[in-house]
Amino acid sequence: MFEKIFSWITRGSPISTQPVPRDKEMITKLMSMLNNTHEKEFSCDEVFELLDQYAEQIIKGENAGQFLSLIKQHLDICKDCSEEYESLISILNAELA
Amino acid sequence: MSKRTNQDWISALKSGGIKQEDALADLRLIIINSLPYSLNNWIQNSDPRFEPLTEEVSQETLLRVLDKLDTFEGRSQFTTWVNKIAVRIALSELRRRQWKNISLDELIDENKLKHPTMIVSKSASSPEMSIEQKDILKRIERLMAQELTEKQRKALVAISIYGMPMEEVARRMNTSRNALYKLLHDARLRLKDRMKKEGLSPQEVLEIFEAG
Repeated sequence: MFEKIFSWITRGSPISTQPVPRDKEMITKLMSMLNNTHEKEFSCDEVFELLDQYAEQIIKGENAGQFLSLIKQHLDICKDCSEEYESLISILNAELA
Repeated sequence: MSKRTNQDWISALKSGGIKQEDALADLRLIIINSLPYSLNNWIQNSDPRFEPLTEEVSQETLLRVLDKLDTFEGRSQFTTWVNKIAVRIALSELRRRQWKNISLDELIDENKLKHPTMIVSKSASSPEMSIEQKDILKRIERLMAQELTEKQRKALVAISIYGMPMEEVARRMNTSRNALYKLLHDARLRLKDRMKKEGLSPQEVLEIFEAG
């Protein structure tokens, strides 16, 4: 049943070449997420506010300050924010080159 | 295009007239030239949809920059702040296009959510799982059914298992990405807490499933 759903939703999409997620893969994804869950977490809006500052500090190898672990925790959990962070880093790296 | 300081940018963009126009034109070029580096995992430069997309994104970004100009606090380069906004707009659009034909209800069979044992899978008879793994899976399914609201279960499964972007799930649930993140944070905390009460830790479960 999952194979059918997964192949339907991924048809024509960049992820259509990925293998169908098996139960073990599903449970490990969920558990990894729970493992990275903390009482205090930054929300997407909070991370977005700081993302430009954070990305520049990472590129320069500077200490990203007190928010470092909270931003990183969020990026480990939130795929949307993580993609945006990686995209911004790509731009900053290109500027340096 | 001469290099502007943060203050130069802000001053020009607030000034109106030709100074503002020049600054916007320069900013548009910066955005257009930056986007290829950030979008190459999503769309190739050679794709005919690439140029119209970057033009659309740059226009939207400039509008948002002007609207939010007073919120720039100078803690980064102005162009980094602008590119951050451009990336958000670009990826939001690309995600919307990628998932536009997929409804949440179709993605997650509603019937599965009503039957606690069917949330993750009907894998009880899966031959490649050990008895211990099957038992843990059933326990976690039961905990999810008991601890989480239907909305939380649906969102959690869509995002963490099927990989649907958070903002796409949020759109379908008529909420914001930020609000959904907080809803799911609550869900994760509840689940983790309940697992702990039942003597299960996510790390231990991971190790059991990664063992084979």
